[in-house]
Amino acid sequence: MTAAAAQFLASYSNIIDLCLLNALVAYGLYLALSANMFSLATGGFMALGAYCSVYLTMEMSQPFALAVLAGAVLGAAAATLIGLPVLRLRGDYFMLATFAFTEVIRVVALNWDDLTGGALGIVNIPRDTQTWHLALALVVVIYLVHTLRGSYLGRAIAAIKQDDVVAQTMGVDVFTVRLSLFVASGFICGAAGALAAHLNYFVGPGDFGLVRSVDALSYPILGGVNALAGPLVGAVFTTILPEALRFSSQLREILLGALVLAVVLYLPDGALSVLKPRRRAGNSGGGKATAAAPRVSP
Amino acid sequence: MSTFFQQVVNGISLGSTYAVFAMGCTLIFGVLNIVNMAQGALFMGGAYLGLEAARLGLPAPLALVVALLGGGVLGVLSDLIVFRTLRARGGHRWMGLVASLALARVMVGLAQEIFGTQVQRYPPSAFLSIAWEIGGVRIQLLQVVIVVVSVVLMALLAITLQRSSTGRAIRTVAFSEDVARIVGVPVGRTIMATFFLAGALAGAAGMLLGNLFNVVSPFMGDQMLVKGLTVIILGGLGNVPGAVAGGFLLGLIEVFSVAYVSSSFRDAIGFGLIFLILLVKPTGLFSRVEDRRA
Amino acid sequence: MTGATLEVRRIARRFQHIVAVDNISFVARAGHVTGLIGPNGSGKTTTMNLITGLYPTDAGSILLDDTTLTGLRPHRIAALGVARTFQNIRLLADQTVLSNVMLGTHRGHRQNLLAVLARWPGAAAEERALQARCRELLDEVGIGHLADAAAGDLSYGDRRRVEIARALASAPRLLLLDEPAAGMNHAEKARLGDLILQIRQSGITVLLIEHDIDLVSKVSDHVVVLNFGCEIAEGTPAEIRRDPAVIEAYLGREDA
Repeated sequence: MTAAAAQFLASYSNIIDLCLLNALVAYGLYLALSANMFSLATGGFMALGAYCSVYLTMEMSQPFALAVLAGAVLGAAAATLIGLPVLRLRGDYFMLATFAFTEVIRVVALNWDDLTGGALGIVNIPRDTQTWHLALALVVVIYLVHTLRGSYLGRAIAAIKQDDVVAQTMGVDVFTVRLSLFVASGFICGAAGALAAHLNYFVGPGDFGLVRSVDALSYPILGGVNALAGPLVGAVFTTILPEALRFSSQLREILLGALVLAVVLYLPDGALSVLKPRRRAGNSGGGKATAAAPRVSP
Repeated sequence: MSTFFQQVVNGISLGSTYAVFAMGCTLIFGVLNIVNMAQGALFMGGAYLGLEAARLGLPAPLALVVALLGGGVLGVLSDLIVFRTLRARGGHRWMGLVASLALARVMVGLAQEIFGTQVQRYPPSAFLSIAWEIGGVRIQLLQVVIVVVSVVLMALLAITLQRSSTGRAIRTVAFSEDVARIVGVPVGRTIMATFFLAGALAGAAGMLLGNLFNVVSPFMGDQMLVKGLTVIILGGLGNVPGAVAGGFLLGLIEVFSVAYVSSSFRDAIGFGLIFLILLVKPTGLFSRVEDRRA
Repeated sequence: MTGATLEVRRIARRFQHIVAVDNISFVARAGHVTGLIGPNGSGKTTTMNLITGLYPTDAGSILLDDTTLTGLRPHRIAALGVARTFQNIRLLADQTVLSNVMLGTHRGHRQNLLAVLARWPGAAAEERALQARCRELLDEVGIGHLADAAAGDLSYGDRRRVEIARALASAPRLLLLDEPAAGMNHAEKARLGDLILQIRQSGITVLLIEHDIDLVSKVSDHVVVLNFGCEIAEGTPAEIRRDPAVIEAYLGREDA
């Protein structure tokens, strides 16, 4: 490695870590979105992972790897508890339940002083997370997502996203597939929360509220959920842009909100869709017919 | 016993603001079939508009009108800028949800730029701080005014929906957009009217709650959005009378839990309720027919 | 492939206050084509949705050979060998024809999630084998040359064929066709009739919902006629054509 590259890495290591972490979260959310689960639970999962792992490393002197795993498992367990009752209902209830979950966790974190340090949070957390941890986790997740997409299970997921009635009639156990994806999402976000806590020396309840959930949603939506690279592109872009522009936090909010609005209004398949030529501009009859078909949710 | 009645008084005044806000949320859901996550930002906008109007020396009733109309105009603007375009594109309905989240973000950011992030307070009013003690129960004039204003708004909304042609159009679109088109209801204009009503209710609720707690901040909408969503789940998505009942219920539950359980977990109780309702009766506590809109 | 016998016993289903299916019983015998006809709103598609489990039944029972289907979730019913097409064609429009048909093989995959994620060679071999089978099926329904086109680009008639191929890809014992000839021209209908007879020859039980009486007469062994959510007649196509109740249901009472 040349001196210039080392210099570059040193001065930008924070932002690189942040990009990797956010990309990891983006794929966690992508799994939920890929089967039309509009999850606002990310903030809650990350908070569980963060507080659980910090408790294990700081209070119980457990190894870091075990703490991250425990955080991930806790996220997955929470996802199971939310998903089991709610995934059988229509999508709006799922969204509202995940939203409520994130807020419950935030309020509990704010008030359970003994465990979470209350509003002041926990400081002096050992900085155990290395850049390569994040990079490795991200590579593994992308590899698994890529493999899944190419398999018959990926085909079933794509069918659920477009028309879950068809998926069911073709023998896809829609509920189990959705639940599994949501649990995987909880696992990844829980791990990401644990990694984030051991990256910043500090965790506080403000880190993991609704804002975090909305941020996480904007990554795959900005980048697009149809391409494998979409969540990565969205996360990196969203992380770097405000830093590069040296915006205040208010301006950052306005900019990110406006960006998401622009993409939703004018590039509904995500920013990456500008790279693809528009296919079949004229004949969209089949798609329309499918979209307008009455939905049945037994 | 006086503590009990004190909590009832507090719960009703708090719950009436929840009810006003939630009526707007549920109205939008009924008509557009999406949860508008920007309602909280409209609420915050109304609180600031009312505050600015009061600081300019407008009497409280006029300031309330400013908050109400301002919220309505913001609602219409959000329809014109965002939701109308989205409808024309005919994208997935999740996109409406994402857009409303992004819109809320932009509005909260703008509020921080314009008004700063500090908490602000309404100018003190000697009149509104009048209070009576009846049998150990303290009732503030402010609380009475809030309840009266809320009830008037509920009645106005009920009359609008039941009696006016706009109200009939709104109910038709809520029943089915296709049916509305067939019978010649101007769907676009009706949706815009719905945004006006919902925004106006949010703006008015912002001024009412801003006065009740005497706190106005750019982030007040997030908290209120959570309450609003809890209430519309309690009442059943799209059910306006359900939202009124749910609003009072949530207000009472919160106040009683502070008095008899713990103040710190007040906010968690609402969310706990969401889960409970979703488990037991997902169509809301006050619905009779099975939810058929899938 | 061997077909299964479908037995529908006194099923009923209402939507709020509208009775869609009042009291319907019939048997679709194994290896035969049973036509299910009736005017619009007579309960044909609701019956099909009840058989495939998309709606729960309010009363009655549905049996496939000796297995009760009532109360099972749709994917369980599919796993028992019930496949269907949709009246309002439901294909994934932006995916290829082959990929749409491959969805039908979902239950045919034996490799679990771990094998898939570990890229176990068995998973790839299985996918290749099923793909070859799906291309054969596309040839059989006569659109083999369109396998790699986007499903949304196909003509109406061809899209209906993709739906049939997708249903056949699940190796069904009972195939439900919901108005497969709707929107087809005369030549397409004739070819569809041949295709249904070809499916019958392979031993699969077919339940055919159709408006086109000529097509139903040509391919059905047995016809069941519905009106207002009840069955009003059944018999061979020739018997049905002479039945006064059927003529009345279709043409209306002379004096009405």
